[in-house]
Amino acid sequence: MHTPHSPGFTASLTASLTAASIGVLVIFGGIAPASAATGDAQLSVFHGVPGLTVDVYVNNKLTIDNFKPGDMAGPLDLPAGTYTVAITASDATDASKPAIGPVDLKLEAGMNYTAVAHLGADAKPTATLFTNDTSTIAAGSGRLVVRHVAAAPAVDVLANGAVAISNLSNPKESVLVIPAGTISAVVAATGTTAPVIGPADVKVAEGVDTIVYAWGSLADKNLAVAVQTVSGMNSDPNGIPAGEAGLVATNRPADQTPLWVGGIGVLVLLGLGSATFLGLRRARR
Amino acid sequence: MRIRIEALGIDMGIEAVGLGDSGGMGLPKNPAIAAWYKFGPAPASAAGATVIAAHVDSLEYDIGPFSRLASAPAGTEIVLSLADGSERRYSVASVTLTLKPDVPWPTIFDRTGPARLTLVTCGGEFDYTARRYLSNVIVSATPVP
Repeated sequence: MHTPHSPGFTASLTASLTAASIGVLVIFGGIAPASAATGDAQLSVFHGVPGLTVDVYVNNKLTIDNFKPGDMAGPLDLPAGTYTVAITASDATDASKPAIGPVDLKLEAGMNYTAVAHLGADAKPTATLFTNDTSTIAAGSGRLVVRHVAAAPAVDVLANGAVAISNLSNPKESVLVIPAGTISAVVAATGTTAPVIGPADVKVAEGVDTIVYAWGSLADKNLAVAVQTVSGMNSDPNGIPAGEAGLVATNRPADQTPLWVGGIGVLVLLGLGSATFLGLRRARR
Repeated sequence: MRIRIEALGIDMGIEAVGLGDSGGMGLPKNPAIAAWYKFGPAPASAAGATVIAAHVDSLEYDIGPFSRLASAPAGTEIVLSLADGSERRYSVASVTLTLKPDVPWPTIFDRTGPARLTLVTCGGEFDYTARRYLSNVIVSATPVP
């Protein structure tokens, strides 16, 4: 890990500015899984360790250079298989002295993953591989996923003031399918409502996984949220019911009156009533 | 937003809607108000089908303007006035009457492919017991440059 006083500072600063201007630099070309399988997996990588700019090595090859806290890289299409990931200080020259890992990530074909470098509940850097749910979501709804990857005790998540998720602990996730819209979210210690993060507006789009990471450290007062979205799980309404009276039906009775309904329409009864009344009046004449 | 189809005497306001109670598109009760499916492509979207629907009739409000869609000839001009004051023009490509179980909903609500406009209402035979039409009238229209 470099410090502001290390010899590499100027070079690192330049490199990171360049990386920032073009997005996170990811070099995944030519990496083959240790055990090959058919089909691709998608992998995103989130960096949730405060104060530590890192390099990410996959199968001993530098893949993400100068990866900064709070940054998200990917998604990358990778052939299914097992990948060995090591995270080093950004001035490392190879993967031999990882700060985190090495860990083996087993990626299955057709699946969508996010690998997260983060602090454990004990504040030690670690890594967790989350599987992103890409199953279809009911029309009109979105999937809200909250992942606790912060050095903090278990939390509750309040959505619009009500507890939506309770007792979520590092490194677990909780998943809610809710009507699409924007919610005001607060993260609080379990059993309390005082925000340790938020309130923050979170837009949960229809047919999309909105994945919220609570990261950082409670003790160091740098808790933060990062949001990742995975889209394309939308589905369709099951129909368009657009009529209720049969007024333009092609099978309406030949002598139909405008408000014929179910054979005993109100106006029909009124009409019959008036006819009878008129008939009676005529009969009396 | 408004929809105008001069040839059919249609000029209606449009509301943004989502889902109704039964998982179908939720339309305003009044057949004189059209509804745009807000989770699908907007008229300004570069891709996909913008879906606008309205009730064909109502026990409370009588027959609605969309009842005239069924007789729209190919080439009929449709004009959408957007919230920003701009207008988009479309030309009717086809009008079909399809039994509801046979309607290809993934095609109707397609969010990909060429930008197009799809108008939907009810039509065909009526089930007087269930109080529902058995078919949807589906108008496909393509943008006019």
